[in-house]
Amino acid sequence: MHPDPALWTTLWPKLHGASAHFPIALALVAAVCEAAAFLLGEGSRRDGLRAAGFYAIAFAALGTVPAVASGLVMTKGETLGHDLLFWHHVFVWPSFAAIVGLAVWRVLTGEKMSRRAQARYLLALLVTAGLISAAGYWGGEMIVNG
Amino acid sequence: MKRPPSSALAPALALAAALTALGGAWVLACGVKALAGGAAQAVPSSAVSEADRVARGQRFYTQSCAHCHGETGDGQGEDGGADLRGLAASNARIANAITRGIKGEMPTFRKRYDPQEVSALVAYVRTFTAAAAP
Repeated sequence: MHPDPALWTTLWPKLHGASAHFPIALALVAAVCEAAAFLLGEGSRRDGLRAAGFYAIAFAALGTVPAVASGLVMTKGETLGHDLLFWHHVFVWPSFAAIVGLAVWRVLTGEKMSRRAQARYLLALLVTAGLISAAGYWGGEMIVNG
Repeated sequence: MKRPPSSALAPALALAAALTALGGAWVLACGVKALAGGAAQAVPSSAVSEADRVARGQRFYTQSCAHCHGETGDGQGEDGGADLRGLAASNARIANAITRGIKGEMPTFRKRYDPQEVSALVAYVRTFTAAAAP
């Protein structure tokens, strides 16, 4: 049995578009919440922001699964490609790995992170937020100029 | 203060998870490629060379595209079409535009050309190099 070509040209791009925005938005929310929490002193507001950052990165990691899967099926397993797709992938793969890694790090440590570990985590999260934003930018370029 | 084991191991486990995620994506990509490749192998395996494909594409281009996009893809055809030189779009995107058309701008060629013929057209369109800057 061979895949229906119409499925690839209609369904998967729609699924990719529908799923790809969640990890982008949630990674950015996680970065903002963790940065704000890092700058604030001890208190319930800081704890609330840390909790929001925790759930945001956890759900961002879960959201990367359908986004990556639908993207791979849509492009018939293309992991790099050329032109705009190439640039999309240059940013997608490191950010995908980083989001999953950061979520695991955060889930394992919970609230037990030292101040230095928090700073490292925040730095990695900010870089990841930049990478996933760039991936989203090149994804948008494919729709507008592709 | 002694850190709990999960906290101390967290960065290493995070790295392992990241690499596992990439590996999983790679496995999925290989699986999808194999599935898509199976579809491609269903096509008569006449071992069409790239040059043959481009030559076929040129024939189709002259028949269906040149009157709008121009003989050289410069968009200077009789009916006025887009400049196709140095397109940044992916092959899949170009094939999709040929197959499905562009609403209000370009007709669909789904019934006229099958996927292999569209692929040949894309290969020929790729031979149009970007226009030199004025």
